[in-house]
Amino acid sequence: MRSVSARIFLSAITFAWAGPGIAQEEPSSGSDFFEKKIRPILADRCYSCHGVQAKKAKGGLLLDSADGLQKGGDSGPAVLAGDPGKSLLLQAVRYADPELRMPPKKEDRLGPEQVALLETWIRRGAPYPRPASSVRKSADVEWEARKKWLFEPPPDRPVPPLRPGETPIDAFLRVRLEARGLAASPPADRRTLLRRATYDLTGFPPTPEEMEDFLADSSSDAFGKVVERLLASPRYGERWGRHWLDLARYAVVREDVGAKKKEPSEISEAWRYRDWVVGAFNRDLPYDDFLIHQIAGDLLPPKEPGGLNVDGIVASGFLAIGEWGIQNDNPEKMVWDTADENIDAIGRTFLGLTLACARCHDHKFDPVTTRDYYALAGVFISTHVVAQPAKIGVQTPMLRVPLVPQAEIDRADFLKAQVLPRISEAEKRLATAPAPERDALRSEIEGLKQSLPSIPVAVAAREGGIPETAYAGFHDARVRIRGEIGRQGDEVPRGFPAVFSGSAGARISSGSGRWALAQWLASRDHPLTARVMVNRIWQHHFGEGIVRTPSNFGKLGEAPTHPELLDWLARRFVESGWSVKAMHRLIMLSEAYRRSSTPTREALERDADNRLLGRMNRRRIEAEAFRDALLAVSGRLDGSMGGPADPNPASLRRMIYLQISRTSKSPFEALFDGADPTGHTDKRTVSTVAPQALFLLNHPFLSEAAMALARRLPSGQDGAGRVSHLYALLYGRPPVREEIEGALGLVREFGGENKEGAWAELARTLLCTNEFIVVD
Amino acid sequence: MEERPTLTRRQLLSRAGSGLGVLGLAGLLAEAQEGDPRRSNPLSVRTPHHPPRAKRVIFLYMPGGPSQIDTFDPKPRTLADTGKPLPLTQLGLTRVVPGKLLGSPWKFEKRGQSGIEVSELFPRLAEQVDELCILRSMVADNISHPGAYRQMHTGEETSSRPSLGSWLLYGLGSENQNLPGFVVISPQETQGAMGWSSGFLPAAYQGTYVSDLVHPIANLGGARPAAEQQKSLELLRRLNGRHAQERPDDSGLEARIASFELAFRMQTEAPEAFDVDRESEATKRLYGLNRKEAQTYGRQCLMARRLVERGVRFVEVFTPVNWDHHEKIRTGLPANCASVDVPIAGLLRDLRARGLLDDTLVVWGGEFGRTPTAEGTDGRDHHPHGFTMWMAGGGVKGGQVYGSTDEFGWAAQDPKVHVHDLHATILHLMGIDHEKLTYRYGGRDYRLTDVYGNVVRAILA
Repeated sequence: MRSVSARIFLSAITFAWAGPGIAQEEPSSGSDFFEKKIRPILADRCYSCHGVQAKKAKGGLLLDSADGLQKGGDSGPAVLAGDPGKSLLLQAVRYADPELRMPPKKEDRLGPEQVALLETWIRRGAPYPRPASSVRKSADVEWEARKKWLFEPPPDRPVPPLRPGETPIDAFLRVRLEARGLAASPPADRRTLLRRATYDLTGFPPTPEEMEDFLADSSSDAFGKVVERLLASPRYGERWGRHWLDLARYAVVREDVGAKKKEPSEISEAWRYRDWVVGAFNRDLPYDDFLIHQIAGDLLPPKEPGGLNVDGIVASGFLAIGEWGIQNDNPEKMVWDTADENIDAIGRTFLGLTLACARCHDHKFDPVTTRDYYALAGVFISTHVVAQPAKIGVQTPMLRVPLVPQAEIDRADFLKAQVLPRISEAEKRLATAPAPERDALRSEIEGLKQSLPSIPVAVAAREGGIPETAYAGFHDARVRIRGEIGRQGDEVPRGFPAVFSGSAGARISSGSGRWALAQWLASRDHPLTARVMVNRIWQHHFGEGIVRTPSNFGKLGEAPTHPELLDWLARRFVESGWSVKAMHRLIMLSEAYRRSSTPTREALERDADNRLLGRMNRRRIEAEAFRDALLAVSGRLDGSMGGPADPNPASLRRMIYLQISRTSKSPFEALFDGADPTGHTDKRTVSTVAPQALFLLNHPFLSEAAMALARRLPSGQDGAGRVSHLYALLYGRPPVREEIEGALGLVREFGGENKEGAWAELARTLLCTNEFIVVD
Repeated sequence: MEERPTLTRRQLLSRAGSGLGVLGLAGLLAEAQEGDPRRSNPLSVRTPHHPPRAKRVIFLYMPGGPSQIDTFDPKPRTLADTGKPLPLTQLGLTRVVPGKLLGSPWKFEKRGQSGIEVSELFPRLAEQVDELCILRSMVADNISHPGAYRQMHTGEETSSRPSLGSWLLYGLGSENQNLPGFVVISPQETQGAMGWSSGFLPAAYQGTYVSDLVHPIANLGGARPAAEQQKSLELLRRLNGRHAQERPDDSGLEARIASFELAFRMQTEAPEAFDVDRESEATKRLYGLNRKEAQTYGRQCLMARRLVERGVRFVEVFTPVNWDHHEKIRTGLPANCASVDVPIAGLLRDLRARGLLDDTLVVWGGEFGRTPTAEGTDGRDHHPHGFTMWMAGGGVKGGQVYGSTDEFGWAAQDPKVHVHDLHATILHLMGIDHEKLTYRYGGRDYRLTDVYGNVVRAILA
């Protein structure tokens, strides 16, 4: 209900989404025969599942109107007037096809007389006298207008006249605030601003030194310098890479059942994809390139002749690391599930649309049809990410693509062929060797094993359906009726959803079509690509996007609070050469970004949800930022970057480098609302449950952080000095006198200022506060 | 979701100060956050769709797939034809070509008022047969453990979805905020955490996995005295109070303050709930804690009863033994049965005696059953095409058999009970319409039963 009321609210205050009303009338055609003989049968046996009054029309079929009957359901028209033999309705009631028996319960089956009546009626042309259309309700006017906007390239919106000090962003926001008679909150103080910006761009709190430097810098572009410093930090890529990994359903373990971690079905090399994402953000890889890499990176030309495009191969892992079932007994189902998973991931991540809804039926809300879906499905059944088809009882091995040229693989194979016999020979000797010689033999074997060359590989995508199956090569897909693999409909040429045909429509002329798909998505005039991404960037600066359902811009998503601003930003994004860092600058240097999170009294009453953005949204830091901050403030962070995922949950590295498993979550992920690694996460939940507090009160991770923090405190300072130091590290501000007294009081309770344990107790308490976990 | 007024800080503190107990605080935690769904207490109690027949579920899970033909689904024809080929052509999915028919080496006997036949492998449970509603026409879709295990727990064979317990917790909330609402007890490694995963539901609905029967819950502390911790909490309270005072618009801050108070109380209450040793000797014997072969599962079942008694919504109790008898079924199956027979019979008796069985639903079964044909000479293969589960208590008619398999025990006959139907029925008994309990994820309203599932009304009491 929240979104509905929000939409009403919005349409009142913002855009007047206007569109033509829709009215439909059917001419009536009466028939006694129908009313006396046929309608009673339909009403008695069919309407409860196939009528407007039904909770939902089963099989998409409505039988209580002429147009429902002709339109038919998911299997096609129910009746072919005049031809009983070709009418599905009659086949169904005759129980001719075991897959299509209606009514489904044997005890409800029609008698032979009733079947004969239906046959007569169809032969007579199936007259259906009911005049009214059974269209459930007129289309949503608001949505019709929004849909028109959404599927057209963003118009270049004029910026409202600027007032002194305003950026275009501020002007767009101010216009709406003024329309509601609201004023924006004042700017945040400098400490708050630095803490906000540092968390936003790096996922860490500012150090006391950074805080002092910023406070001491009285130049007019002091904050601009801070933004540049933070954008240049490698921590930036880790922070924003993690946001991206939420969308990419990143994990490195699909299923950890005991010792089975080495299963070929695993995706342990997914860390390469993670490192590529982090690096891409750090070097500000243009977003169009970033997108192309992930959808068709394996098709990018090599960087040098005879070489490989390693980045492209690794980035295509986006298609491979999804979740569609490890042990799919049915090889057919696996192919379609994999395609579906990719369509879903691409639709939500890049288009902000839930395309996968159209697998079984036309999208119920958005203009995406089953044909559109299978046009895309053709692209992905013509691509493979697994090495072989599914087999009963076997976990399907992932495709592993070498990241070195063939010559190097040949060399490695040659070397292996030489070393392996020597290893087995040494092992044989070891079995019979006298004790004193064994150690030498063991180290020899160890040495030989280490000399074995290892070829770096990535989980990645390759062109063509699964080799040595019917899907090998490139194929258009046939529609699967109701998504059931065995029920084939029309073949659909590979392509893109028809609703976009107005935009620069690329054609699929070669290969699977992934290359064309990527180019089409990355085109400058694509209606959605830039909007969806700038909205995500906005979301991570303000806590909410301009569209608050960032991966669903469709009807069931929320309408944008500031559509003109979204369009304007999307245009600037493309103009900047798709530079994500340029967007950070644009947004962070606005007044809007620098406002206090304290609402004015009027705003609290009239814009409690802060949809008009008169203030900054207060946010709780996410699982990663929280864990990373605990390590950082306690001085224990291992800042090394990249490499295979660290399986140790107590690791001192940033959380992005830890092992993420689809089946067992680490405490930080599970308790503090980490992303769901089984799917696409567009927005983290913020929950408050007692087990979070239990963790903070009792878990060794916190005791160790607290103890390390206590040890970090300058021993040369008095109690008050040490408390101040803690406050600077944790909250970026000095304590007030009352706080110093409270802190020292606790230290005394736990044995006094000379006891490290007492300071650790204080440190833990300060780490548990709301102030530590909340960013204003 | 109706609009709910959020409590002001003043209201909250005045109520907190008026000596409300733990439940009061839990309520505050729930109410204070109701306004914003993303900040709500996900575990607050919710109203079911219709009056429930059961308030809680104990799922006795037999990992690996127990043999129905040797336990609850007698097949004299198969016994008579042992050694002959299975004379059926439509077999459905099989892993290998089925071997020859293998009748059960164990005797069946009519038991109880109902006269339902139960095998001699369950002598004590057989005494309770009048409590059981035996579903002999169960069918599942997947013939391998991982897929079938997932389907039994989440409804879906391949993708990751929320588990049954998570859906129930999401639909109904938890009646005891001091305990996890969904607990999985398994001292042995299971087939994986997807069995109690919250999937795309918020993480708060995740099952709590208990493998250590002595220290079941993480982070309960115990290392330091409560009085000491109280001092730190006092400072925390003051600091958070000050911080919140400057931000009176934010109920999320108040909720987090309340969560610490609650956590402090959980530390004392949760260990008690799990502590089986507080039970009388007679009760322990009832669950077989004095029997070497039965004591582990007995402890688990007793723990389950203590938990449901305290309002835990869903407890799944995995047997420490595996039922995947591809071989050595003649010795393996009796040993398995002996390890659970007394504990399960004891649990049913105990629940009945405490008046809990009327609104506690007990469900028994594995991810599938086993073939009526032999694998090798002394084993049976996986069998999802017709197997047995049973339910007891909470709104089901005891002393009845529902459904059947063909005369050889291969294929379930109509009316079949698909896993989706089982799930729909469990939700129904808990007061939930399986078609209405939905969660919007990725633009779609998902259900435990996807687009399937029919409530098996014939078994309702």
